[in-house]
Amino acid sequence: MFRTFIAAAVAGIASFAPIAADAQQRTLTVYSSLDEDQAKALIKGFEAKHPQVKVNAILGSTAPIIARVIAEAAAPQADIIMGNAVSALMAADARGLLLAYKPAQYDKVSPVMRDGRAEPVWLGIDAWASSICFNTVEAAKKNIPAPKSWADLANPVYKGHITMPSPLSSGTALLAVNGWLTIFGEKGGWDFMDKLHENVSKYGHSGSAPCRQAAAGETIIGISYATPGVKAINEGAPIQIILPSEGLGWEIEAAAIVKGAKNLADAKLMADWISSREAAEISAKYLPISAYDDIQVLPKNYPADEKAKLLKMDFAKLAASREAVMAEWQKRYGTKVPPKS
Amino acid sequence: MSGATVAAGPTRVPFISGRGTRILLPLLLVAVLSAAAILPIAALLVRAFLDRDGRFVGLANFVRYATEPGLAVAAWNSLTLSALATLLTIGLAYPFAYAITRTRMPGRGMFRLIALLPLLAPSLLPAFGLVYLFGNQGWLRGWLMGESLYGPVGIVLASVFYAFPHAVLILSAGLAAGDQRIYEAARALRAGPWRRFVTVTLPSSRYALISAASIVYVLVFTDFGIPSVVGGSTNVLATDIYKLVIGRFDFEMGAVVGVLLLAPAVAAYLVDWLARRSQRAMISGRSVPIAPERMPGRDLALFGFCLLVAAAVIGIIGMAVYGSLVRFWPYNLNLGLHNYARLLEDDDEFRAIGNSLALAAGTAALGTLLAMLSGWIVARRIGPAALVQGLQGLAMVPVAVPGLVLGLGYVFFFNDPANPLHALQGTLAILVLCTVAHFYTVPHLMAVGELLRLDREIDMAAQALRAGPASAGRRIFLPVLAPTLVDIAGYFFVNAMTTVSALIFLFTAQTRVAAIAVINLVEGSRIGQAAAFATLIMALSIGAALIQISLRAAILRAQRWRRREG
Amino acid sequence: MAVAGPLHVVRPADAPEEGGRPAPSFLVTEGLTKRFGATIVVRDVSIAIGTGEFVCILGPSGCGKTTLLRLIAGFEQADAGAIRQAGRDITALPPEARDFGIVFQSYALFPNRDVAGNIAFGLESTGIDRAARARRVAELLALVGLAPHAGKYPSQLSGGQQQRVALARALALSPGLLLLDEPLSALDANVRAALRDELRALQRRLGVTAVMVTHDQQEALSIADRLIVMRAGAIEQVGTPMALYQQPANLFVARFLGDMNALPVEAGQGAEIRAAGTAFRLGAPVDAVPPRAMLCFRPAAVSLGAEMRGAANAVPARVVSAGFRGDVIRVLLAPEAAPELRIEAEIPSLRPVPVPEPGERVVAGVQPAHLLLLEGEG
Repeated sequence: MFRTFIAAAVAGIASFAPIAADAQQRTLTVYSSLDEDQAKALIKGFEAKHPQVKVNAILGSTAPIIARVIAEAAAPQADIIMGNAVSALMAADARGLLLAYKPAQYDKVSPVMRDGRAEPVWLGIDAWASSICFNTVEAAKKNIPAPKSWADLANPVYKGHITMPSPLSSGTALLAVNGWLTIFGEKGGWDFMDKLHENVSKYGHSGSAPCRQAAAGETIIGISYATPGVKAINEGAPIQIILPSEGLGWEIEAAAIVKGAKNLADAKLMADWISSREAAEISAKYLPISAYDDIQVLPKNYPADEKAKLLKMDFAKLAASREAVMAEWQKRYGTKVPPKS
Repeated sequence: MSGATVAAGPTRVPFISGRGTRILLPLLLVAVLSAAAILPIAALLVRAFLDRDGRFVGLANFVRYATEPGLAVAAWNSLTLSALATLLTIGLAYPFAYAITRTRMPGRGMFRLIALLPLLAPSLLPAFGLVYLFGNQGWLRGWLMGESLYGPVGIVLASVFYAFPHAVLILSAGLAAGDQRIYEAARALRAGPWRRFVTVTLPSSRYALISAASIVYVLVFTDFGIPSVVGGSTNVLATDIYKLVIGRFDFEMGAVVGVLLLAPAVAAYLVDWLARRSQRAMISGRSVPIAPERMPGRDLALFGFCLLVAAAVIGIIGMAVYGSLVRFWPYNLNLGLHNYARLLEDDDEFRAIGNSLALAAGTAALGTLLAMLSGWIVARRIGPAALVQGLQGLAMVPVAVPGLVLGLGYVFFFNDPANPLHALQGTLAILVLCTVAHFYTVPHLMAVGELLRLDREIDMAAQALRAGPASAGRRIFLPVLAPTLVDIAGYFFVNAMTTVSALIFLFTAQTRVAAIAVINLVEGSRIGQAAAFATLIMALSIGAALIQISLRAAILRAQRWRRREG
Repeated sequence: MAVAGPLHVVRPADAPEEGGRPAPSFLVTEGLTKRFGATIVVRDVSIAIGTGEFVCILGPSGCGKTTLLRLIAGFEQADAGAIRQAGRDITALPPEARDFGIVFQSYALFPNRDVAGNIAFGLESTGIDRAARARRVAELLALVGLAPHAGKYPSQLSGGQQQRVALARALALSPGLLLLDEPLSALDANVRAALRDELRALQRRLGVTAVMVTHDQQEALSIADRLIVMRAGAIEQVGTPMALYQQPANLFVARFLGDMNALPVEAGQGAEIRAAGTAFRLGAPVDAVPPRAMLCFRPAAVSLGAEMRGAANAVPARVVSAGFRGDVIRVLLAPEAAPELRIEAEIPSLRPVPVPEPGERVVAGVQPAHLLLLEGEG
């Protein structure tokens, strides 16, 4: 252990210098917002298949990763983005930063996980959906019933006990908001959010934070997505993941090659690997919805009926209205001081 | 006409002979600071005046931002909460700094270390600590008397905690220096302890007080981390920039907020400039080092006060450390090292620690060198007045700039293939440069303060005795400034160990540092391991601080001349 | 204006003549000018100092005397003019390339070096061997009488001791020129007087040329071969202490070097002057009486007594007050013909004279040779 440490320190000092190109080894720079374990497993699979390519992975949250790609536009550092919200990828695509490429197995992945355009830019890896993390212990202490539907959250009994991310800084929040606009319609959706706003104690910046806060008992209800809830349950948190009855807003996490990639050939190899059934089987261990419809694996403690509750959503329309939804949200809830808990 | 009149004109500065060098040296520093901080920041902030396609649009973005709902509330929150936090921080830090420098109460060294703890811990630790103490499950939530932690209360509490060590550092540096004979003179004039404090101590530490207050204000004003964790729905300007840049990829509007965030720094710079104009040399060659008198009553009261402050600091951090040892806060409080064990399974985390140490060492080396040079130029006014004033202005900028702005600015600036420094992209060197720039202001001010207190005539005496800069540096300035050098290096080191915000846009797989690994763990919902890793980083920082402190003590012990009785 | 001699001065018969020594040329400044921003701090200063001479630059606070010294040292760079030392043009040279030792007002001792270490500092960069260095340090320690304190640090020394260390340090490299910036001003009176004499003796013994800045006229008068009196950046007068004291160029110089009575001239021609309602006769006639002229004489030049009555230069006056000052008694008088004016007189206290009582009528007399006609200060 001590030796690893010394080696690491030496490697650290060595890395002051610009990295010398290694003639033998090809490198591939991957930006990813996937779950860390999932990303590492996918890379391991890739490297096993292509031992001549060394993958350098930079992991980070959805939005900062895309912000970095946009900022690096002058001289792209990333070769491929392996897993980021499609809506965020579209923001980079709108700036002309992504390269159209049709991976080898593109036609085999389930249609919903494909870009769908003639010159596809992204390829779905998995999907994640809105859900509620509900702390059963704190709820019992305060005698608060578990919500069954989104509409239940408008009930004054939850006043001050709900946290959710702000759609201005979190893709997860946008999932939920888009879901509500799909379920209740344009007017009904905003009416619902007006009532929800009365109950929300805090709008945060991170999509997974509300679930972590619920797991730590800081809030009773966190509007988030399932994975952090599953992890909290696995750690021993008194969390129940509630999938509301009206259905769930959801989104695809996808891969896309960066235009100007220095290692384009290997980036394409990576895209091909991601489109393979083998890769989908790895991803399915982390999220139940993968690129191949027929792979049915349920991660431990993951709610079984998520797939069934996914809403039918018009992604093109939602992408187009993204800015308008954010502006409306800011106008309605960005200025008002929320009620005290 | 006396030696105290410091010339503002083209005075010849010791060791810098030719007019050429006199201009070149400050120019060089201005160039380095510009490349490391100003140009990258400008590369982002210039977007405030451009549209998405890079066309100049004048103030259109400002107008667009001004019409955004919520601006007034965010600005008001930022202004008032920062002011309140500054008031509290200085109110706590001044007596604390006084107690550890000007009294003979026991445990001064220990208290100094404890005061610096918040600096040594990744910001996540105090955030956890505050939540565990005052959150909805917190052990002491009753102390908030029904107020929620998430909101103004949390922002002010956490800000005071975060800014406290910065204030103590600046104030204790200011209070540590002085001339004992002035106190003897005051005593001879029958001034009582209180009168001596009010008429001698307070005025002579005025500059440090103003410096500390402006630094704290600017730090709190621009900090994003605290309001995002404990701010609840209380909007401040610093979180606006995150929402705009990261949430909406609206770099142009983000740049507008970045420009607005500079406002208090500009004000702080002006205040500092005014204060420094009236600052005279406090230590002449004849000064007698301060020898605090024994005053049992005062010392006991201050000891009690320091004990309370120390308890608060340790309580908050200790709570987070406790959190790293329990199985699952707050529902499974079985103690164990399982979080640490799981952490150690991963080689990547080891590499991150190695990178952090390399980053910290590099930052300390480069930062100390640059800060001493720029401090020397400003304190001794080397070169044309405009250049010196300009350098001081540039040095004040980094503290005003959120790490987010600096980090993205670095990408825009260094990632431009036309930039000759483009090759730095992706190296640890760029992380070092960025971290030096990020934390530059305080060490620069420390260096200026120390050199201002060192009689200028000492430089001249050395030069009159035909000592070159290297020789005088080795024989006079290095020994005299050694404790300050150690402090500055330590400041850079520990900040580099814990900094995150600017680096998340710059790190690569090879240069991922420990503090970023902690963020990754949090995002992966591995809270216990995140707390454990943050605790490990803090332990390393404490180790570094202990080395710093014992080095400082060893220097002071070895330097017999600092004691009045030989 | 620079080295202008006294104007409109009645030269006393026994005044010492200038020019006994060879043309001073060791240190020469020509038209030296220094500005700080818009203010001209040193204005067109030309001086010449001979080898081995002890020159004091004297003037009130802010007159530019320290700046002049720093120009000579090279710590400031002149905006115009030239400096030559030992025939070499040093105007553009940095301090370390010049040949001088300096003692600062604050002494600027290196706090981290003991007494011997401070003195040895300059020697260490010359490359002389350790033994020779130790010998030289011992020599200097003996010279300033600090041998027993060689191992002490500055903070353990008294002010006088620190001053001696600074002096020894400045002399260590045997410079041709010793610059002293108010070296005694921080000391108490008796230490100061003793050190003053010691400094003078040491300078004589070593033969080093010395330039000292001071605002203390007693110090300047008693230590210097020649004085340079400055005001507002320019030289007012240069000369020996005696010459300046006895033949000041103007009332400013006169008053800066000691107390001086000044009575407004009411009328005058040739050697006959009217002031304070009294007719005075000068030692020698003047061509023209300058505007705003004052009739001046030192208090010590006044004698009191009834025998003066009726004589020339006798002023009947009333005693306003009288005070014992040790060696002398200081008497303040109001002339009877002009009771709003005041004349100060100093009479030796050792002579058995009665101390005048306030209100007493006396006659004050001044020798014609002691009268000066100076331009007043507007």
